[in-house]
Amino acid sequence: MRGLAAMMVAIGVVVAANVAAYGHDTQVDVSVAHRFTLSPETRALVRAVHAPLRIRAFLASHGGAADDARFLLSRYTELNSRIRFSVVDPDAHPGEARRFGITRYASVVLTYRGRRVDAPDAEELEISTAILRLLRGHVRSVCVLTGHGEPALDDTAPDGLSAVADLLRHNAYEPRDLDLSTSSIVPKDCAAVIVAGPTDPLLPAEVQALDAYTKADGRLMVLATPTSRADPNPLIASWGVRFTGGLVIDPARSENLDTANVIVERFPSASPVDAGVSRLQLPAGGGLFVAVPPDRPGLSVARLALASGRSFVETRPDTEIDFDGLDIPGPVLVAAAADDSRVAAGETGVPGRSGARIERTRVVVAGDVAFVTNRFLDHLSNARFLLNGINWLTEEEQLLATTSRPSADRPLPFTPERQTRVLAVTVGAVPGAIVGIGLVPALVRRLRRRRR
Amino acid sequence: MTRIARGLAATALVATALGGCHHAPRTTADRPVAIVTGAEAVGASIVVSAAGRSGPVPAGDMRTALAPLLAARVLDQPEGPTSYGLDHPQARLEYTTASNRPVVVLVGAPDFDRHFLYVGREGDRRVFLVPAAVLRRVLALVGVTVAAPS
Repeated sequence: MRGLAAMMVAIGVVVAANVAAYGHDTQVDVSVAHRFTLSPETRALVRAVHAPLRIRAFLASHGGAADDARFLLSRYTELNSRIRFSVVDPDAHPGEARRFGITRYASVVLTYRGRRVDAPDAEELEISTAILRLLRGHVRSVCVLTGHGEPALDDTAPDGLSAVADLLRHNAYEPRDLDLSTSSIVPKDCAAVIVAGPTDPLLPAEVQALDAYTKADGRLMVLATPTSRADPNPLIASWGVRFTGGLVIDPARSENLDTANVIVERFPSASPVDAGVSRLQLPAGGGLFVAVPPDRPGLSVARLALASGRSFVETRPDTEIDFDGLDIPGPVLVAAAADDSRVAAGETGVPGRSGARIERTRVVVAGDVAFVTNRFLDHLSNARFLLNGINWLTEEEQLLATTSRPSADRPLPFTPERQTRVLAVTVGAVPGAIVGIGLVPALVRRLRRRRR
Repeated sequence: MTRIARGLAATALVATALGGCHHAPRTTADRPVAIVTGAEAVGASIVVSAAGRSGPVPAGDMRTALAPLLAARVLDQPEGPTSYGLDHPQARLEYTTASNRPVVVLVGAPDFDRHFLYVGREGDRRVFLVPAAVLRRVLALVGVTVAAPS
């Protein structure tokens, strides 16, 4: 009888729990890489949708792909009710497929405020990219300097920049090469110019062209490298940042035994470039320092990333890797952002108004180029940092499609600092705790005996 | 084990069993289906016609591909025939079975990526998708060109 009663109570509890759960949609994603949850970038993006957005995924209505798409797109609609989706079987509804010009499976059509963007696949990265393009309403060119031994945008080798090209495309930018040997002017439609690790010096005319571009409301990103004969200082010195050369060494925070493969964990600025950036991996980079001229009140420089207090710039890396009097002590600045706002005479650009207008130059400098190569771009927050930098330069809102496809890898750099902590816990704290717990009964017994 | 524990264990088993029940949603069939079955095709003559032209399908590969005539996919709940070009079919295949019973198959428009052609059978409301490669040579007999896939 009591067993029956217990069973009834248990059934009642299960039914009540189900009824309570039915009206709520709380989910917990316990998968390692949060495969079933939209990324924080996508969530921010979805919140920025303020008008009806329609997603049509053209997939065979049966089978895994359609189910996966429904699951994924439901995550979007749960976050924002302005987003609606449908999975259309182009074989069963050829009229709708024709209306949208669909010629292949897995095409996804997104429409928003009369604009249309197609995603090539029903995956989060592709759909978020399309939403970002819809929200922005335009795609801006990012020009990457070539002709001096820079890693190439179409190079898929570990030292290439094809991953940067993909990242930019996924975030409503169109990367393209900029060859200043054939044209001495930076095209006006370059929303930003990236100088990514030239190994050969730029010609004076090229430096002049970039300088003229930057001074005229230009947006420049310089990724310097110490293993180069090209001096980046003529491009950046006017903006209060200088490249020290040398090699940044960080005995406290570096990848395993390679002290030049620096892990950066200090981001002291409030700049949007640092938003969402937790750690960077900068292999074989050089140092920077800030020297703002006193006669430039409109120029401000943000220290974006600093190596640890034990870091230093080894000025003679070819001969030794030890701190001495010739080296520059840390914490070493490895990335900086300069903003120079000036009042310029002339047209305001606003119809019916004349007079002064504001000119603004923005420059982002990093003492390393390897961190954006295919080998390292996906490491830690490298991709996020690069994209934040481009968004800040182009004055786009800090909305991102995801910076990379979800990965099962969860890298945890085993820096010397961490090694020390692990050693302290495994050799000190854990055995100490065991011994301590073992001693407690003995101490208790001794105390009891004394009381007696 | 006490009665209470036994009761709880039984409840857990029932709850687990009920939780595992899953009714798969009904989907459009994607199994190969015979539009004209082997039994119907044995000994049948097949005539293809389009736009006033007609001719028998010769024995050999062409006939083998049509007898039986198989569909790669079936739409059990199709839209109207207009959507699939079956209101004005570009060709028709007429099977006359060994028992002199006619079976008429209508060939409609290509699908969205031109890998398949929509096909209907008179008296059957379902719509079938037949690989374009199966019908390309047969339709060429009566001057109908089936475009290559996109």
